Amino acid sequence: MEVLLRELREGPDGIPEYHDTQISAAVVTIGSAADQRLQLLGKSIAAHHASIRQSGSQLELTCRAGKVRVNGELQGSAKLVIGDVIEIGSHQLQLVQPPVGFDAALELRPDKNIDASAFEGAFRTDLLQTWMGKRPTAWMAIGLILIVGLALPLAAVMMHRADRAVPAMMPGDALWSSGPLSAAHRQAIGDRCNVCHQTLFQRVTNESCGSCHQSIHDHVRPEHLALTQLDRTQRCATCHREHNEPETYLVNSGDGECLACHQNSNHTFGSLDVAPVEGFGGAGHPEFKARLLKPHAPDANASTMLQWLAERASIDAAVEQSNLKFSHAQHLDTDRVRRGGDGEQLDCADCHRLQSNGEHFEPITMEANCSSCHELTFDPSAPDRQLPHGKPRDVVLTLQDYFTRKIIDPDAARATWDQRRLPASADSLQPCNASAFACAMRSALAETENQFTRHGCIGCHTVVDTQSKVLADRFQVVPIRLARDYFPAARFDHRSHESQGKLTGGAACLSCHKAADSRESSDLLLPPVATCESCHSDRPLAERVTTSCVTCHAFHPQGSKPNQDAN
Amino acid sequence: MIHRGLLRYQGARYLWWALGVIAASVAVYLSQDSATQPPNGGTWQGYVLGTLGALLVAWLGLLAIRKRSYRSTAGTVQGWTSAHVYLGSALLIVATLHCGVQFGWNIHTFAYALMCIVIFSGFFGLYSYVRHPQLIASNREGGARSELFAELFELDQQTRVLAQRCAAGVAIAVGSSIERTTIGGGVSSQLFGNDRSFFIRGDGATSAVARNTDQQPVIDFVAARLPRAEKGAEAANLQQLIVFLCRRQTVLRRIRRDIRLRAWLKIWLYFHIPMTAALVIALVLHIVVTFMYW
Amino acid sequence: MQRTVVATIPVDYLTKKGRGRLATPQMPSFKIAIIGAGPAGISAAARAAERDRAAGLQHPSYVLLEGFSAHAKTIQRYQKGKHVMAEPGFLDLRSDVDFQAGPRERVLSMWGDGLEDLSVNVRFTSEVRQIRGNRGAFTLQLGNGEDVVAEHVVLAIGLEGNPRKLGVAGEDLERVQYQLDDPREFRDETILIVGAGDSAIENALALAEQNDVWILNRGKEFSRAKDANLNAIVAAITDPRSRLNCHYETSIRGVTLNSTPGSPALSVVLQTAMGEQSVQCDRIIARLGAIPPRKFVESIGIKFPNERSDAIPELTRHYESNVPGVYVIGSLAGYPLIKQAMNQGHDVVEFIHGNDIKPADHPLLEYQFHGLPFERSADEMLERFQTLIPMFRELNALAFREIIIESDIIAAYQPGAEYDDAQRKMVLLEKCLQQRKPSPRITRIVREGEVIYEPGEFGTSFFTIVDGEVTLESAAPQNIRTQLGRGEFFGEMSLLSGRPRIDRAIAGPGCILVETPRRTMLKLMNSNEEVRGGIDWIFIVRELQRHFAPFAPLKELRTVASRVKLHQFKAGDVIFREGETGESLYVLRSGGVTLSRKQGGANLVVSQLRAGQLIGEMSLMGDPVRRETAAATVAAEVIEIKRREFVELTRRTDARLEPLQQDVSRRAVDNARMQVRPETGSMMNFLMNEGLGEATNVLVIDESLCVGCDNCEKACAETHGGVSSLDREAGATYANVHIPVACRHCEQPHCMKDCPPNAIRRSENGEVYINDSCIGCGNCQANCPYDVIRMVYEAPKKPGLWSWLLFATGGGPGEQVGYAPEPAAKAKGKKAVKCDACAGVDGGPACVRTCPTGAAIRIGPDQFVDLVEERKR
Repeated sequence: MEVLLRELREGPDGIPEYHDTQISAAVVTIGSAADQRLQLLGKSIAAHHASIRQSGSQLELTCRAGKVRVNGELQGSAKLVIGDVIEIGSHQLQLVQPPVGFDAALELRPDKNIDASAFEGAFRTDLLQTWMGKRPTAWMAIGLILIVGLALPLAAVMMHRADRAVPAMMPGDALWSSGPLSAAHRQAIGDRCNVCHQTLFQRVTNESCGSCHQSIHDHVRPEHLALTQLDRTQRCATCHREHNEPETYLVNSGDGECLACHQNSNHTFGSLDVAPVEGFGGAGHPEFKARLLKPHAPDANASTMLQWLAERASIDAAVEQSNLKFSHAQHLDTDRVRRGGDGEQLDCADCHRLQSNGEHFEPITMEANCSSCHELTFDPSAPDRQLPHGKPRDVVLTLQDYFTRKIIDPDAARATWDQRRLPASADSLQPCNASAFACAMRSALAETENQFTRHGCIGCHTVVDTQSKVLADRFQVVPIRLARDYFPAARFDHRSHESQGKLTGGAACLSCHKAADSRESSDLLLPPVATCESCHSDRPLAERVTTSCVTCHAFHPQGSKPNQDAN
Repeated sequence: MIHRGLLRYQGARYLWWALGVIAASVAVYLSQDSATQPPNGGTWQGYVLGTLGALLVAWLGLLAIRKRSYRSTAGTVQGWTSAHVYLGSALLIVATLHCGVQFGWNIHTFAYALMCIVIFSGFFGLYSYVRHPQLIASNREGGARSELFAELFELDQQTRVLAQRCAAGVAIAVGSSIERTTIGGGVSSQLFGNDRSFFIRGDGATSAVARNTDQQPVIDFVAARLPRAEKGAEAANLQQLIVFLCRRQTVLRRIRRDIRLRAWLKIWLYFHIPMTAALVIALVLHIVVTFMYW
Repeated sequence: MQRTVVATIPVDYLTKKGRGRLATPQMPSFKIAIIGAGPAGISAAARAAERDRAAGLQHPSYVLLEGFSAHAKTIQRYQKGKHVMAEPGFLDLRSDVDFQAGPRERVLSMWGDGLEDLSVNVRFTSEVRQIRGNRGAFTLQLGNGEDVVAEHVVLAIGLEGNPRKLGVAGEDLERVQYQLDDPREFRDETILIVGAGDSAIENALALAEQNDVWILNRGKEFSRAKDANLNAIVAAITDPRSRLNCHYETSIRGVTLNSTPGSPALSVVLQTAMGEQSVQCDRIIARLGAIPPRKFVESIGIKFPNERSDAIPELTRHYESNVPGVYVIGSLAGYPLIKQAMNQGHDVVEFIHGNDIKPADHPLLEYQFHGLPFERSADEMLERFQTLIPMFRELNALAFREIIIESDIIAAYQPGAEYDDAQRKMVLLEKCLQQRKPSPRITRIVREGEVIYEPGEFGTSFFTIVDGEVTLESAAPQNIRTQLGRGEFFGEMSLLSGRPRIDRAIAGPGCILVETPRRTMLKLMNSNEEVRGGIDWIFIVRELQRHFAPFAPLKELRTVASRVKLHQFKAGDVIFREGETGESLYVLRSGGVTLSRKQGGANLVVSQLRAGQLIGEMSLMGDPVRRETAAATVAAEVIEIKRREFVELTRRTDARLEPLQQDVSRRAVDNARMQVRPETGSMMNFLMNEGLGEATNVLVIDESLCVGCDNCEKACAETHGGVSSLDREAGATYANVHIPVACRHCEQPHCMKDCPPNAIRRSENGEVYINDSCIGCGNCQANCPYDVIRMVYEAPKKPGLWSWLLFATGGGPGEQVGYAPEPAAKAKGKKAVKCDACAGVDGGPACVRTCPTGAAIRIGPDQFVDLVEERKR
């Protein structure tokens, strides 16, 4: 269509002038961009703002951006009739009677206050005009985080609680994990956090640990706890740190937690005597208290019916009461004792054989450790005959049988007479003119008294003479009990101590256990704490091996809990 | 010297503060013995560093408020910004020490990652704040952008009028080149100053749309017509036309460069700010979750 | 009807008063004739009416005569809705007619009602042409030829007088008007405006918005207009788009009504340079000024002290002129303020009735004198003061009274008992005055030895010593103490040059001071030769003393001072040129001057001088050839000292030559350095062009640091009610230094020039700010050469920061572009807004404090050099 555009301008001396231009186009586009048929500048005018086209007999105005005022009211599109006034921004456009040859005529009254600098409005020249925005991005990010980081995990928690399977794709509360689980736990628990974290905002309780670890019990045994004003020991998690990297740190082996209780003296342990501990190395640690066995006679006359009671005593004061007569010094003295065979000096390991656990030793027995040297022969003329060990009655019977047989056997008697006389003691010298049985009994009696009171049993054992008429019951041997574990609550690895610097073997043992000059079996050969501290300390020092409390002390006491095997 | 950049505010006072913070955090970090426990957020040192970091984030975020609380007398905004820059950089170290360089696919590391995005976008912003104003100023040579657009508009009008007096082909080419000149536009166009201008080249009979990058083609097109000009008058017009077009070219270059520089000056904020918002939320979540699964 | 009243007057009136002659019956006769129904007249008449009522008279003993057809002509002519003020606030109104500040209409109706209620005997359109006779029997001849007889005459005719008519046939046609109430009344008319004064120009500009306006100027140019209007009209005439045109050297010969319908109403014959010419128009508005009332007043026999147009007749304290029985009140008596005039109207009637009451402002004086060591009545005190101050001796008693009322009285006491007593006394007084808003001035009590002002303060007031001593300590260029005694004055330097104080003033023993505000002082200087002369003289003397002979006694300098000359230069004027030989040096008294040297073709600015500095001293100390060209950057006043005087001054034994010489050599070096570094010179040039020559505190933005965040603008808006008085992007830039469109706080602020309510003030720290009393007249905006003042509506409240931060509601901080003012704000009307350097905001300028990158700083003149140096790098 042919459109006449008539622009009204102020000529000089204020007389309005008309500037006519002819637009021949199907559509008269209006906007601030350069490619518009009618280019109008202004802040509120878009690059392609509106367009006017012929529709039937009428002109139709349609807005592509925003709205325009047609005869005063805002409209997005409108049918135009002659005389209509369109306000675009602050410019006025009036539809006037077209002259002949024109389909339409528009009279434009531009706002002369708008200058060319408004041309910028035709373009997008600032990031603000692009899709980019700070707020939307921020809100989207926040929303996303809240959904993925909070909502979904919470849902997962609920599902776990309800024991419903969580879809594999769904980000569960694993997102909340602050680090990997230790292998065992991972295997046992997997991603079901609620197994341990039972209620939100509550620290993992010992109960949830106990639900699996039933055999482990508290640091303080309930019966002991009763004696103190203490409450139950703190959370497992104080020492057992999960989600730690690397997972080797599952146990916090630091002394801090231990000392927290055991250091401060005002911490009341009630009637338990628990000496305060400052640390290890440097007089921080009290002297060891060994667990010793103490013989106890329930009543005087049954003196040989002993019970053994355990008692704890600081090792610098304590004495051994095993009822054994034994001198380590003697056995280590080469002038007196040499090993059978190579004739070398005895080695600790000859008697004390380390058990597989490396902590304790095989029990010492007559048969295993002594008899190789100490045979129980009684008649030099019959070196192959030995007394039975550990059964006093049998000893008497054995002797009676032996002498009876010896005397009533004629050729044996003749043959053995002289030889028998030579070593015979004074009273055995007296001639026996009684019946053979009587003589045999007398010899047996003599030999029995000899074994129990002069040499023989009496060498190692304590013997009680009960003056009983019945010879078999006359002598009682006090039973022997050697302590097997002086520190049941503590751990010590002998194997790792088998070599002390240059020292090895027995020498290594002797560097801690002062056996070489122990003459009495009552000597307690346990090294004092100072000995340990000469090499160990709780903090890294020169020439010191660092040890923490739990190196020696087991935090969880053993035994006394159902279905638990004591070692 | 009267003007001082924000980095040299008060002789870089806050640089020293930041170094102090870093030193302190390193000391705290080293104070944990890794023999019994690994250094991470779980130890008391970890908690201390974490609290410090959280407080730092909160304070850094406060700049948004302080910048707009215009009556506040708590220091100057420049001081705050300077401190924001330095302490923000320090935060990177504090947070790293807090987490003991332990990462995983979890909300905690996510918060850390966000923090890194924020801080590094901040570094970029700092760079552009230091670099670009200089360039913008020299590019505009003291004139405002609106002045450039005004000149462009006038040039368009004059060029059009002049082009009408030339041969049809030229008129079409020049007219179309004006109509189809693009400035700015979308994000990428603004950032990289893409020029998607076209013009219709043709000799009256045949015509084709051709690229008009940097307006050079249309200038060449018109120039090519010069020797074949019939009358002297047309030659004169063409020459004048070329002058206009060249002027247009320079003006357009300047406008585009201005738009590009400004876009680069501002773009970082479109990451820095939203990510900060996200970071704050993630941080809160990180703290809540830590105590939710205590 | 008037007649009948008149005819029947005298009888009871005479019986009441036993004396008096029988008036000739056809001649109305009164006790008091009040001329002029302005505020003063209305109030006087109201008082008289009240007295009549009290005395129970049937017939008025007075008459109020008004030449105009309505009361309060001047205010009738204000523009619609213009705010009428009730200054001074602390002065009580003493009148039977009500009056408060408010829009023109309200005030007028207030008075109209007052006249109604008291049924005041007023006669409008009865201009008094002539007054004969003397006390007891004056005959007033009215415009319509009839006479009125009165015993006393009260002149309350104001200063404006009657508009000067065209003086040609048809001057009284209805479409020929001499005033313009509301320019918006007329649309698309062709209007002729006659006159070249401000009012004519203002009307023309206003009408040209929607009419074709032709302004007829008898002369060749608009010489009488003030700068702002001049610029505006010239711009409008040259601007092709404006509908305003001008005919120079043109006047009207005659006006006739057009009979032919359709064509414009009037046809006018113009007398142009080319001869007569006839034009058609719809309307003629003649603004030819007014016939000053002075002639008329003198015709009565009242004498004026001098020929100055604004001279005030001599009056007794009863406002009685040298002609017994003729009283002068209101602006004619030198009381321009409405409230004063009304009070006088009341008082004068009381005086005439022999009731010698104290004027309404009497208590004010008493408060001001209250703290003085001696007990005297206020009036005695006034006389004493005036006799003690030689400069004011010649002053009219009433004028002096005004000055004192507008001034502060400062009294110094010995620290200790005396001081404490005085202090206690004033505290008591203050207590009883508390409820009065604004509370009136009271004596300021200071300790002896207390500092009155410090160097660097932007003092605007002027001090006069009534008694005792004051010590002036000037630190730079060298420490000098000067003792000032009774009758001397100080502070004139800041008053004249607009520079901060350069010395310290210390109250001496028993000193009593009058501190007069700048505005009052300037008014006084313009109206009174003696005062102006005195102050100019002492200024020169002090400058000479300061620069050349610090120890010379005043009387010796007097002779020299009387010989040196004072020159005024407009911006751009050249004081002396490079190359010419000079025989004199100059002291720059006010304004700014740049020294430039020719370098190749260009003029390089080598130095920029501020008030108080020396110019061209080289020619008297080194070679006589000028090395620079000195030109005024802004309007400047300089004192010229010729060689003879200079030698005379420097010959003294105690002349301070060394500092002077050092100064000379230092500046020689500086100038040279500037010259060899052209870029700094051109930078300085740029700064000067941006008006920093007269700036005291200007915002400078470093483009190389500015990231365009507009936080400065936002801060400005947020700290100033949502309206920013700073446009960062606008404004000139040179080599990264950007001077945004923001107030420079000029030494002699252009905006202060004519502010009707005196709303633009300068604080002690130098900030120029606009207070609440702005009436939105727009003068300051027009006067500001840097376009830093905007006329805006109050901005509406915005939602809080958080709601924007989170949800982008409310457009965020800063001024909202094209905000829609609330109805209340619209009702208040537009007010002038400008930078006040955040005088009210603690922490200092918000724009600077909120710039994140440190690009924005505010600097004073002494830092310009640093700025230039900075750019150098």
